Amino acid sequence: MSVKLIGRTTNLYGKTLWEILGNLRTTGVGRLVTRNSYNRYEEPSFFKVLSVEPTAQIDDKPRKVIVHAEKIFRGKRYKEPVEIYSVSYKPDYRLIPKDEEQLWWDRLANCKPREKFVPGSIELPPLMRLVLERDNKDSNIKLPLKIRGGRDNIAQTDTTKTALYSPSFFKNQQSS
Amino acid sequence: MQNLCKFELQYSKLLCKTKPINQQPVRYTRKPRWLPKAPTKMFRVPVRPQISTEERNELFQLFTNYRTTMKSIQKQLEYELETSFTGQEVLQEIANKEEQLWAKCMDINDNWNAEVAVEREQRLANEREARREEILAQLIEKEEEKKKKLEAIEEIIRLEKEKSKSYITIDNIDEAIEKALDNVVDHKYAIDLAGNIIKGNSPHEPTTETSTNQMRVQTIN
Repeated sequence: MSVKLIGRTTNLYGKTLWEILGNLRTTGVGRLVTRNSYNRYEEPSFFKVLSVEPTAQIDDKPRKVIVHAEKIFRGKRYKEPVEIYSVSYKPDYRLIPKDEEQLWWDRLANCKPREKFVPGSIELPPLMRLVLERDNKDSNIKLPLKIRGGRDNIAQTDTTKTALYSPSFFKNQQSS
Repeated sequence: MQNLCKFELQYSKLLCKTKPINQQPVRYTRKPRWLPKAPTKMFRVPVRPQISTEERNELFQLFTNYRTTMKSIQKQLEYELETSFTGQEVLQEIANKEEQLWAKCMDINDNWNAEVAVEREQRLANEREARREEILAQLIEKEEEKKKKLEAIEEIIRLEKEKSKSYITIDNIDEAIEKALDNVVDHKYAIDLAGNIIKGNSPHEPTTETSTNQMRVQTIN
């Protein structure tokens, strides 16, 4: 049966987490689940289900479910298991068949860890330099760049480097 | 709608202490957000922009770098703003300004004090003059009173001196005794049932003034 989509296009295609796990024996504990929106990354990203706790269905809304899972995101395994609850209703999940599971683990083992080094400081913008010179202030300073250190941020500061304040700065900073 | 817009502007003016660099008030020049979709646009499906992966990555990088840079610039500006309040020179300048203000205030105060002092001197002088005149008037009055009193005393003394001529002294005591013995005054009198006053030692002789005395006794009773 060919599917014909009508209405607005969506990023989500797949099933909700309960639709997948509720039909599996032992609610799919130990199985691998991935999200279709993770397909945009080259590195493998998936969950290994550790425990499932269903919640009550409210009206006709997609059912939510509390899942504790081991998360592997862009080839990096999280240190602690994550809880999926608030996004579990999204019809975005896909079960990885048992015969493909080893393939995914192999992909994880073979993928190259992401690395990114960014300069630790940037030179003053031209107008700002002029203003500082006008005010007889020290205009030979460099502005320190602060990189956000989230769980998924892999960028590291290279303090020895100084970025130029020019379009070339952006060209040089392509993701590795 | 325009009123709403105005309120928005006023509130934004009221709320922000320091005016941000980029101030963009939300203006409801279009259809309000809470109105439903127009009937003509009900079934319109907006076409998604087709962006290639490379371009998206490039844009992502650009925006990431832009945000990071802007953050650092903002931080630098904040630092400069902070030092503009707490820097050594700035503090010195503020202190100087305060000193000047203090001097100005003191100047005004001194001027005022001088003005008030002149006024006070004038007032005090006037008061002193008034007081002196008052005292002078009182002195004169007292003097006059004293004079009057003395005159009264003089009068009394004069009268007494006049009286003293008839005084009984050692010189004329015999004369006075003689006179008294010659003219014996008898104040005793008897009264009968009819109210007649009988003077003298002979009670059977009623006096001439019996009827009048009787009348008087009756009126008294």
